[in-house]
This record gives sequence, structure tokens and C-alpha cells, in this order.
Amino acid sequence: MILSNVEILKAIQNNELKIDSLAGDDPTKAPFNTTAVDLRLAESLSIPEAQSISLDLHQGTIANTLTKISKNYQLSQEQPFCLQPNVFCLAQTLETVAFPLHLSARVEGKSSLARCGLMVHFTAPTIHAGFEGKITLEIINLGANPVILRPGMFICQLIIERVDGLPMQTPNQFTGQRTPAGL
Amino acid sequence: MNTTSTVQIKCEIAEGMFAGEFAATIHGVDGNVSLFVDEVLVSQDRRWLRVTQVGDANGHTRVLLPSEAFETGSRWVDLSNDNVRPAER
Repeated sequence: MILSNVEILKAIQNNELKIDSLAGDDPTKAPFNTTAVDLRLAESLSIPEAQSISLDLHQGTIANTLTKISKNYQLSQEQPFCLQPNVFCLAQTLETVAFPLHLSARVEGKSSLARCGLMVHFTAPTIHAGFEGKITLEIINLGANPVILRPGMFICQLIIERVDGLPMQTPNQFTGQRTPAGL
Repeated sequence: MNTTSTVQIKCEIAEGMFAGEFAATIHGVDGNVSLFVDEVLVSQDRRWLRVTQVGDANGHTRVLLPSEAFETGSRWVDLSNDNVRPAER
């Protein structure tokens, strides 16, 4: 079941769900929508650059390879990033989230950005129960014109859902658990 | 009987694609797996990664990684018991 804005806020205030730091705490204002909460773009982008290699996920060193072949860009209000058409970049949310094992989420784009041709995720929208950290976004500009990316802009929205049942074979272990760390 | 808890597993840590993340390599019983992890999950000495222990798997420890590994596309991995320790408090 999808959580409403009021239920999302309640879950945060009960320390059931962590979104740090939330851009506002009025469920009838941004960052809330009726069934979602918006997250903001952090200050850095990473763009994997073309190389004369093929990415082999079975090689065992793909994480290090991706780091080596990617160029980082720091954004500021004075120096935003101009994402050209058909350029792929990775970014993170400004907020750090932590999900208990009974909540999960989907990252979705925002219709305003979609109208400009911007996809903020593709093929990997699921934030699994128990996830903790900043959310990585796979962004691509499919529009005909460059799009300006500024740190702090609302870049995506989280649709949060309750998990039916528990993901492990020993559900009693999670009784009363309110954080991924089991605290 | 399986038990679940938060534990730390031994890993090799390298620089990630963002300031707040690391690339982690884990020596599973079926081979190495690697993934990007948020810095909050890595110990201060950068040798241990916080994960959920799922239980026992044929004498090894089965854990749930924070995100899927590149090599297997899976979050589940089995580890030798000596690569697992209780989580720091």
C-alpha cells in the first residue's frame, strides 16, 4: 500500500523512516505531494567517459573501473551543470534515507523535468527495504535542448510502500525493529 | 535455526564515484563480488561493511548486502564465518 503524504511524515516523525534532512515538514507543501515526497539534487555529478574498453560485470573490478573512467563535477548555484542532450550522468540525492524492513520505495521522475526530456532513473527505481544511504540517480537528457541542473533542485520523488510480510525466514527477529540497524 | 542481525563483514574498500560512497570488494565463498556502498555503512578503519546477517548456509554465513553486487546481480552472498563480526555500536 502506498503511503500518503501524511503517513510519510508520520513515519519520519516516529523514526520509522529516515529522510535526512527533509526539505520541509508541512505535508501540504513541498517537498510533499499527496502520495510522494520529493528529494533534491546533491552537489556533485559523475559522468562515465567513453573508453576503448567493454564493461564486463563478471570481471570482479567493475566498481573500481567505473570510478576510474568517470569524471566528477561539482555544482553550485553560481556554477550549475548544463546537461547536453543524450548525455548520461550519475548523481545522488542531497538527502540520506534509511528504510526499515517493512517499507520500500520507488524513485520516480518529476513531470516538470520529464516535459524537458529529463529522465532521472531508468530500469532501477526500487529502493529495497532495509536500504540506507543516499539514492543514486541515473540521469539522461532525452530532450532536444540542454537542461540546467542546480544543486538543491527537486530532482525526483519517492513513492513509499509498506511491505507485506517480512523478507527473512525469521520474522520474529524484526518484531519492533524501527531502523535498518535493528535499533 | 537461522537468526538475523546486523553484522560487519570484512571487505576491501576503494574510492567510489561520489565523495560519500566507496567501492567495496567482498570475498564470498563463491567468488569475489563488488558494489558501491554509502560511507555510513563502512567502519572507520575502512575494513568492514555493515550488512544484515540472514543466517547459516551450509556452514557459512549468509548476509544481505546493502545493494546488489555487480558480478551476481544479487544482494545475497555467503561468507566464510571468519569474515563476519558483530556490528560496532
